[in-house]
Amino acid sequence: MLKQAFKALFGNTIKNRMRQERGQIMINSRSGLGAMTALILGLATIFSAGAMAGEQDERDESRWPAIRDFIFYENQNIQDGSEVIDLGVPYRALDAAVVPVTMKALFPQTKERFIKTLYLIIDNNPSPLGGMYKFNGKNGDASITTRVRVNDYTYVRAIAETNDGKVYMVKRYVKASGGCAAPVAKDQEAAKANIGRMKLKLPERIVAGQTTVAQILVSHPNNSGFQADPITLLSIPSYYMKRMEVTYNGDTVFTLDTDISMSTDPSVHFSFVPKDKGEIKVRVIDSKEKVFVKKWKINPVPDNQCSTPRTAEKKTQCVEG
Amino acid sequence: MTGMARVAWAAVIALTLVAELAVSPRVMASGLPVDEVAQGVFVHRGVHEDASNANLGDIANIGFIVGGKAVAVIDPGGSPRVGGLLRETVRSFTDKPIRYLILTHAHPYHVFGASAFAADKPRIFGHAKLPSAIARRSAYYISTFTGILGVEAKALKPPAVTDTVSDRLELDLGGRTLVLRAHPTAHTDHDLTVFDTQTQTLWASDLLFRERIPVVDGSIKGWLRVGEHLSTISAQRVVPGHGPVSADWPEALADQRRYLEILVRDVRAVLKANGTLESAVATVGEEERPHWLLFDDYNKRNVTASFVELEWE
Repeated sequence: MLKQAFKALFGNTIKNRMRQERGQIMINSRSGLGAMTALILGLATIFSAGAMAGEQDERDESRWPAIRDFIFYENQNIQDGSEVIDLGVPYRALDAAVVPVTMKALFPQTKERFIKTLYLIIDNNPSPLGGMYKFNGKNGDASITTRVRVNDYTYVRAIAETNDGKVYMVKRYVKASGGCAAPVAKDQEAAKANIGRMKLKLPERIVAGQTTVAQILVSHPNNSGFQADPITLLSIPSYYMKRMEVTYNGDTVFTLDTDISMSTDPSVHFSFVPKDKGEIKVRVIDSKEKVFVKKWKINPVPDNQCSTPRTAEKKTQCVEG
Repeated sequence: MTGMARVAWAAVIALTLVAELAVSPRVMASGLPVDEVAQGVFVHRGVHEDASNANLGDIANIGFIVGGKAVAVIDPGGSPRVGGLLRETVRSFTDKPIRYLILTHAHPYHVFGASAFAADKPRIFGHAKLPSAIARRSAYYISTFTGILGVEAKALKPPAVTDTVSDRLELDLGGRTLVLRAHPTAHTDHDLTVFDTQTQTLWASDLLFRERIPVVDGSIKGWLRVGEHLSTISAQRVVPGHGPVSADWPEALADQRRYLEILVRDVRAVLKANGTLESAVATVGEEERPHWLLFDDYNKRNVTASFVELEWE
């Protein structure tokens, strides 16, 4: 189980970086949970008393060293990422259940130099690794927008690992909102009703060879499993999306490994470059190993046809999907 | 009492309470100020603030109804301290046993006072989905509210619901029947209202916000639907979860309905133009600013919640 968990999450290369004692923590954690949850339960074991609002100093970074050592080589040089990646996140989380996060790549993605892996870290969440996005340099732009839960006042980090193995980080501080904005699904039943339903939102005009931003929405409750019934003290089972794979005509656009930090009904804005007409395929795997697949036809217009503004009527001819 | 007088009176009560609690909570030995809005129907008005150490979470309308044989408390308040004061108030009006505790939903400033009634061993009523909501939310609420209220985590106990309502339930207080009704997802996914048949009082709790900006923590479309349903109920008065009691029903619903409808309309417009969540948050609802207290604290959150609901249409 442990090997599978590491492999699923980090692949063989990074797996070898993991230190044995961290593995012990994972072995001690609950069995049958996904890799990310196992990782986080490991971290939760380390910080069992942590992450209570009001008990922390502002700008608390106490969890970061362990998170860092868990993900990267010990002594990994993590450079300032302000030239590589921009992180957009509201200073105050308006709704703790739905906090928009944008990670924007600041250099053109080419086969010579591209962001290979983009990590989204939320230090003080029960599950700090909010997502691990993998790219291959062919999808135009390694920028991602998504929505996460924020349990507490915390640093949010975007960490980019480029194809030359260098690691860059930017971070922003987020204040979670108090009151009634608990980081849970607002309507549990509705969230369960349409599990696996997907919606792809495309721009009005898709031009061949141009970087195109799309949004994929997946209906899923994404329950954390960290809550317990206060009377029975039995925990409510976790149930979440653990992986998303997006391809265009069979070529990978990006993959995402994630878990309970993503909001109910996970949403990801991503880029792709449709050279020819074809098909976007999204494959989602959840923590019960349920697989959901959906495909959308894309029919980009040639670059010369829609590159200039047109009337609304003519523009519709350039729309497909 | 006229409507204006009632508003003024409630404001005086609220201000007095805050001042006294902030300066010296112990001077409130006789409990919380309440308004007997109808025979045997007592309402304490919370202040229009976010919960804080100064107001002890006393930010929602709470109260009790006295029947021939028993008392039902409707929402025990935002902290054990407020719950304790409410209990003292009940005791200053009647010696009848507090047999029932009715929780209208799981939000912390409505339920954290429940532990103050432990000695009464009341049956605790809530929506069929309330236990699940408490389970999912309590850890977060306790961790957040320990800081806000300045109390220890162990002081905040989530209530143990003993009786759930999936549709409708009649509760006999001794010659006085309360009708408890569970609603589909609206303000939350577990809203419960209470109707006192004797005085035709609709205790809408947080399905109705007045003066204070509504908070969408369930479904904005569902809330509009449930609001329509509530407006068909014939009632002499309505007790909102926040703001003054009103004898104008269903007219008292108009402001809330207008605000929610504007959010739906304008979020849909942003979605139609392929706009982002961030752009919706930046613009939607601004025209409603003059009409609501705490607008800046909640409007953008409401837009966020509405956006992620409506983008599936």
